[in-house]
Amino acid sequence: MQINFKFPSNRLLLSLFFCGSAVILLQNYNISDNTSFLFNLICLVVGLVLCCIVFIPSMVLKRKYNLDFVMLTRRKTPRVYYLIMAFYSAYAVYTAEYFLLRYTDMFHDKYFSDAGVNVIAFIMIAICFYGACRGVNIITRFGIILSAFALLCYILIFSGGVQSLDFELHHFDFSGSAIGFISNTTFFLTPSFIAVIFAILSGYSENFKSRQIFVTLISLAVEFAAFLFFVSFALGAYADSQSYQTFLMSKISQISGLSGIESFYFALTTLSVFMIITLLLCCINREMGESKTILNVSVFSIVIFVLHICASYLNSVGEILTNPMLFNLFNIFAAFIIPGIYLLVFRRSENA
Amino acid sequence: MNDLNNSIKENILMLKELFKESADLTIREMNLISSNSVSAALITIEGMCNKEVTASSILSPLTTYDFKNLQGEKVIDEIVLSVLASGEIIEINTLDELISFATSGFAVIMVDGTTKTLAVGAQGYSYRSVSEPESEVVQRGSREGFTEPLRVNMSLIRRRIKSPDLVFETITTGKTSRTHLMICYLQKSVSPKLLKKVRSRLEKCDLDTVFASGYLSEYLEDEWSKSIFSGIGISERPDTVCGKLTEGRIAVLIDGTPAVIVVPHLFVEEFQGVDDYSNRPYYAAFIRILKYISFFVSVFLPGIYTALAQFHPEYFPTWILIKTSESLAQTPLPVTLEVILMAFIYEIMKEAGLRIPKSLGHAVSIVGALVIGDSAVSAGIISSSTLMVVATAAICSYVTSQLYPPIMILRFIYIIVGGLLGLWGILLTTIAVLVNMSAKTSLGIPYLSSLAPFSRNSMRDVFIRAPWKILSKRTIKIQNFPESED
Repeated sequence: MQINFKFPSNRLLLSLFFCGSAVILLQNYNISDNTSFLFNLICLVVGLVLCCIVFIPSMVLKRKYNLDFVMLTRRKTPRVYYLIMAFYSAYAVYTAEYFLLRYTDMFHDKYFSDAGVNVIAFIMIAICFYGACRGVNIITRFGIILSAFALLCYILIFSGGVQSLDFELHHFDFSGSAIGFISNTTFFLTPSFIAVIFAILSGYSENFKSRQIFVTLISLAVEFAAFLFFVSFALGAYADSQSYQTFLMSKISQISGLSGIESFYFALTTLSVFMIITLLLCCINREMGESKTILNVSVFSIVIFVLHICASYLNSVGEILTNPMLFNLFNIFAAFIIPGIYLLVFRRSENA
Repeated sequence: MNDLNNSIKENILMLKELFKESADLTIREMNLISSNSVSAALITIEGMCNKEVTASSILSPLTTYDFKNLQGEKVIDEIVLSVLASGEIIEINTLDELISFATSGFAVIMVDGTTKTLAVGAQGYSYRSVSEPESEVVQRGSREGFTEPLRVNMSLIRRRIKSPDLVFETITTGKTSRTHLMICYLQKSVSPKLLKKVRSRLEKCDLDTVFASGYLSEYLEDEWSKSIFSGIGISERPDTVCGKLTEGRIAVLIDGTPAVIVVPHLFVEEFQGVDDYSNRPYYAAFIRILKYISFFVSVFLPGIYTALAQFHPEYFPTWILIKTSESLAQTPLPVTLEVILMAFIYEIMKEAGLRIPKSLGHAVSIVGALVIGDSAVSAGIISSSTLMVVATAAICSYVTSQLYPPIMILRFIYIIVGGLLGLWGILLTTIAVLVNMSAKTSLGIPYLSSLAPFSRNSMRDVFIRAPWKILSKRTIKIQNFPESED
């Protein structure tokens, strides 16, 4: 095997940025209808500030003690290590499924209705399996190439959408209900799952600076805001009650009469979902001890696939797996509460 | 390792037995002028030695010199000190060495009563003269290319780097062929770890014969990073090799082939050419970008065309869609099969063109151009748009000719995947290929170095070629690339 170098942590955060992008790219009925752009912008800011708070335990662990959560658990609570890691493995499977289901649904709905969702999921998981077997370092290297492609996609999508902009004044109102505010803020809290991946994989990285997290979250905020802006002003009222609004936005984009920019949206979404599932499989591998990478990754890939089949046949399973409230609750537990408790106990023992 | 015998007769018998009375083994036995009547023998391989040099510079002085009462080892010493005028006299003591030197064109002198034997440089085999390599033609710059004999190739490098830092190390490989290799590097630039790695991998080569650089490439590759891309650079140009040596790379020269191996080799190097450094920077940058575009076109165009025609015709601009649909509707085959067939026929024609006698080349060109290019389209077997797509991809693939093997394989993969899964399949295959490339290393240096892992310093010679004033400020050594194992 290749020597596992510690790679710069900004590379890990770049990959996590792409993972976070999937949230807005795959958004489907999550943002409340009939709300203004400014209202959504406030929800976005609040949501991402909460994300930032969720990041604190893993950030402190890495910055102050140069530890990741797996190392800390192994060191402080060796007896319940496997229990905690079992929870995190279950979380990783759940998160992978959360995005995979949305992705296959979007693919089936918008791109290729003849394709079987399970076939799409199988091929996608197979590619992710290959990526995860190569390791985090390689995937973050791939993330650099992805960033160049993503930049091209964003330029095409946004510059192609400029001609469709139509500024409606009601989008500048601060109107919105309390329920809408909670619902939208919950949606913008979704990227907090990247804090869990960071907590587990940060051990592979070096040269970490706290500002890297802020830069990542601010970049995500800018990306989300740009999509919100274009969805509000380019699609307008047409966006209401439409599924996958960001897809629609890319579909109306045109550059000099050349259409088909939605294929770049699909590419970007596929790459983001690939990044999420692969990094989650890498997390599982790290939690399982890394000694049998192929076995660990293949077992959990099969679990993800089986779960996907269950979800596609049993609606109730699908609803649980794609429930945003449940997902956010899981995120807060996995990214904030459990590592937070560990951090407090660890600090106390360090001080003692 | 068999030691030589004191008795010249025994040694000659041993040699004859080893060579099985081979017709090219020439043993000239003689008695030296001496009061002790010392017998000696001159061993040569016919065709490997220059006959005139052997006769005038070795045989004549040996047979006319008076050795007085000297015997055995002292005769050998006298030959070295007073008899021969040759500049290349090597003392040998074993049969293996004797065979190695004799088969390399040396004349071997054996004297009765001693195991000490002399190998005298008298090489005189015929070889191709130094000429411009056909695969690496340049507009400006040297017209010299490597040739087959090792010594000539060494001199071509030495003439360009007149520094004592330049080191040539000899290794013999191939159990039967006993091919001489030269590991060449700049002492001050090379990483000792890298050098050790190259030495050990070459020593591990257990082949019977080594006739070309390709034989050793697989031994030099990192075992765990399998890929269709090669981490081994090949060049026939001494100026290219010298440039790479200054960056800390290592060259392996192989006797009998003009293709010199250069390691480590990175992906971005495939797009760098000698002309880039002779031309103005802006033009060099333009050519570089052109090469990258050509690479992508040659790999992706047929696959994307297949995917679009099969699954997403709505992505074609209307006027192209009308023309493409018209021409595809007139052909009997599905578009995927048509593109595969066309690409396959092109590969056959290319292979035939490479191996066909030149006198028949015109006939093949006519058959190719008229039968496949024109008649197949007018007969409605192949659509004109398919023909154009495959031809464009084929031409583009020669812009980066060193990458032709992976381009060809990937092109077929993308056509098949594009035909089966559309653009999505192409995207997923690209992910797999890029992950594979990101994982690949060349002697511990990431293959995609400069891009991933990203190195800002080395970007000055990737997509653009910075002006010489900037390039000359600091040469980036290969071992200093991020995440190299050194």
